[in-house]
Amino acid sequence: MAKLDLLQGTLDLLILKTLALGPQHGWGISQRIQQISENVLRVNQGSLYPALQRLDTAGFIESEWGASENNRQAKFYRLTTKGERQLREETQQWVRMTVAVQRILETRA
Amino acid sequence: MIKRLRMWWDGGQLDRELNAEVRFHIEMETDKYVAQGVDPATARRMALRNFGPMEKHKEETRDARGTMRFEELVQDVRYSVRTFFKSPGFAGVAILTLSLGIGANTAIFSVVNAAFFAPYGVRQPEQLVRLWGQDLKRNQLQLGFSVPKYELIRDQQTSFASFGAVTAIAQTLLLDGREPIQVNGSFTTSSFLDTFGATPLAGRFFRAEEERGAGVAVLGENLWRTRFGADPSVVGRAITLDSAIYTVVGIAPTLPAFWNSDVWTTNPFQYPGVNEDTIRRGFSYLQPVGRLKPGVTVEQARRELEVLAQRFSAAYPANADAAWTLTALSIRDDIVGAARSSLLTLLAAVGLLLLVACANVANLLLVRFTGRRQEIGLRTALGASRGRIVRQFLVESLMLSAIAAALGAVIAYWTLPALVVLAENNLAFASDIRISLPVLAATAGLGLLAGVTIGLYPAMQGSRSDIVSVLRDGGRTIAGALGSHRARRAIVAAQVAVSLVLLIGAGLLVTSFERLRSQPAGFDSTNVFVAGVGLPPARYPDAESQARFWLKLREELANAPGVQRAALNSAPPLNGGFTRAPYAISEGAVPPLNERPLGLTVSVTPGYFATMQIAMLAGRDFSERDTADAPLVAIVSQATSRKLGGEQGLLGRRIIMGSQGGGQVMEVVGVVADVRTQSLAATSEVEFYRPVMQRQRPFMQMMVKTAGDAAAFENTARSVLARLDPTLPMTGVTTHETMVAQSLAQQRLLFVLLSVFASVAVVLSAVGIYGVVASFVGQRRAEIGVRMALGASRQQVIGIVFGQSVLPIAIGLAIGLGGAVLLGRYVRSLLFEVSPLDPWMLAGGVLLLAAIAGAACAIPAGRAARIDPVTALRGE
Repeated sequence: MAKLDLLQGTLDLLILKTLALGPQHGWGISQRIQQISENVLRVNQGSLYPALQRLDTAGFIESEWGASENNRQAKFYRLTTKGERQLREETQQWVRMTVAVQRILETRA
Repeated sequence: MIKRLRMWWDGGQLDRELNAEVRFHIEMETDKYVAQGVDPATARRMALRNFGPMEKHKEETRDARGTMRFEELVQDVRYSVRTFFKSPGFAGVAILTLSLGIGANTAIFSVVNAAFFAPYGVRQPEQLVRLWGQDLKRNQLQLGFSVPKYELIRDQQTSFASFGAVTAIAQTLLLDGREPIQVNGSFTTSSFLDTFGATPLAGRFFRAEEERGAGVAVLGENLWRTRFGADPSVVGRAITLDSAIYTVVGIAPTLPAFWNSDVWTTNPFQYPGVNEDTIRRGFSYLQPVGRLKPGVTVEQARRELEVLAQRFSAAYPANADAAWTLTALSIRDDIVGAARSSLLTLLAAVGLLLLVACANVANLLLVRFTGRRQEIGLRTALGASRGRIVRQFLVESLMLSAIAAALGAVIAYWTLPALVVLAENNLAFASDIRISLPVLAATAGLGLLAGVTIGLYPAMQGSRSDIVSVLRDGGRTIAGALGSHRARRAIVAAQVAVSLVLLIGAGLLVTSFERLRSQPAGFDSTNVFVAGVGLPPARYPDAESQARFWLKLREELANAPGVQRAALNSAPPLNGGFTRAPYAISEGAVPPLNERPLGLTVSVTPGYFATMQIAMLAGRDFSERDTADAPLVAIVSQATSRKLGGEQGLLGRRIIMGSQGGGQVMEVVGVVADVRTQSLAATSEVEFYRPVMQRQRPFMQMMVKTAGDAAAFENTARSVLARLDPTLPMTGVTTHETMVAQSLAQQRLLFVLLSVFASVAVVLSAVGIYGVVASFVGQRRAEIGVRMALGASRQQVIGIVFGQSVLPIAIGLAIGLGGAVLLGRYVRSLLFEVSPLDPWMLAGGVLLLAAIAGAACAIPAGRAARIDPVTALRGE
């Protein structure tokens, strides 16, 4: 099965969800999204950083430099309370939307 | 907001962080592949590929930060400077063109700023209004106030917080008690300087109890600086003014325009040489000023004055000024006066000029930016966003315009003095003309506007490049240039239109000026020396002593070496300063004083008409026998004689002149040709001449017809005067030709400037047309070569090239013609004996510009016709 490119706007949601599992650096986020989606979703790794910056500016996440698992300096991102709220809202919306799309697709012709 | 500022400030730090973060990412990704057994080099390549275009992502990240990096700007600027140096010709032409446009604007801004916004150095000048009397029935405006009128208005008005009046007079000041100098003096009410909102530079102004004269004087700033070394201890010292002693009590700052004075003294209710009876009967020589109460408008003051005017005519029904109405004008409107429409015309003209300049530079940039499509294609391929490219172009055009604005300010600074000279030092607000901060701010704003205007469209065009096609055909393609070619032709049309408007405007003004200057003035100014002399009342107290002096002076001047004829006149033609007196024909029922019209009245010595070569049409000139004791006589102009005397004329008939004793009866003994006394544009309807022996004048102007250069007569004139009375200064030394030129100052300023602006605009347009056609020929070399190879004649080739430009030029001419017709009515008031719709002017402008445009096309067309098909084809 071919890998799917991420829909515009869903990347933010996935980043928030990933960070809800715990603080992570950029590369880690990209790996985790791929792992969890069992390699179906492909994150264009470079586009991760503009998204992270956007979320940071919006106040949904915050960042801090720290040591990575192999003891290199890495920038770790963490979800803020505002980010948690945003994640809940976006998740609900996503679910509502997918359910709606699903219904339309299942309608018999 | 703070966060954004901090980010901008921390831009460098954040970028280092971003780089570290990206580096970490690539290392981790590489490690991942290495762990899977890929060799390190390949692993790194794969990691980079997964990341995608790195610079693009970095840039997007920065953009997400929401600020533009300062470094990026510096980069853009540095890059622009480098491109300028790579093609200094382009940058030079662009900057020069723009700086001409901006410089012209800056210069005119400083004039307009002086006229409309100068603070005058007084408190809240916008509250100040000048009051005028006017006799609308006889179309006489701008009349002064008589003493009774001033007193009534002062006591009954409610619009003004304070109220005062002043009258100007030439006076003689003895410096150090010895050297006499002529000064511009002013008699003022005690309230005047305070009403005007001036602040004493030293000492104080007048007190209410000093109003009727108290031997105190206030020196004007200019005299204080030039003659008293700006010494504050002058306050308290005594000065000798018109042979009387005054104590200096203060120093007044320079007041705007004709309100300024060298020496201020009080008691304006008496006037030298005018008796009390004349003053009480309505001699109107006071110039009143009021400071509006807060919240009161000029319009409200005007309405109140209408009521007060009626009260005045009820209270003084017999006075000469009883029937006049009153009006008020803000001080600024009064000072700017007739110059307003000239200034607005100039402002519009420089605006149009800048438009043409911008169009030219935009045209250049369009060629330049589209010519750099290969470079842009490369940069896009390397990940630069379109926004970034547009920004780069805008930085380039903004830098051009910024340099041009700076240069423009310098140009304006250099040309301003010339501009003031061009106005023959005859602009009321000339002293306020300077390059001030608001002017520079306007210039900077203009530069910014010009930069964006000229850069935006070319930048959009230039950045819209299809990478593949550009890189493939090496940038030689003209497919994309087609759109920009259309834009350039539109620009040419606009330039031609604007230039035509300017050209026609300039043509109208030049024609007006020439017609004005060639008006039959009625006098001959050639080699006529002019200088003023004032007699201090203390030493020349009566009409007899003054008359004796004037006749003696005239005689001595006439006998001086190099003199052909000499005379004296109280108000030389075209120099202002005339007086008007009520008059009537002394036959049958004579109308009462207050219903008599006012006629221009000039005092002269015998020999005046011969000196100025004014034709004596009937009767005789004045003679030395027309003394104060002899029967009163007058000479009238031909127009006066016809208007008042009808078929029969006025010669030998009696008229009543002036207000003294209800008017004096005098006989008309001569009729002279009409003279344009007030303005070259028209003869005075009514003009009376009276012998100075019978009409006391303490101030007269020598008018000496010399054999050679009139200006060189000054020393002789001085020694003649010194022989008669060493204490008398000579003032306002000039020639009558200069006076005539000064009377045309505003028209001259307007027509010279507009001609310059129009010429520059036309040259710029020609360059623009040339550029478009030349680049068309350059781009189509191969095509033209093919056509020629297939048998097209040279004429056909020239036809093709001309065909390219005929349409935009024709459209431009049509729009310009329409614009000129539409704008014509706004300049109508500035024109003399030429209609703004004059078909010759309009057609002449169109033909001239068409010819110039044709010439601009002809050069590249000729080059196209000489294209050798073989080389052209091989070159492809």
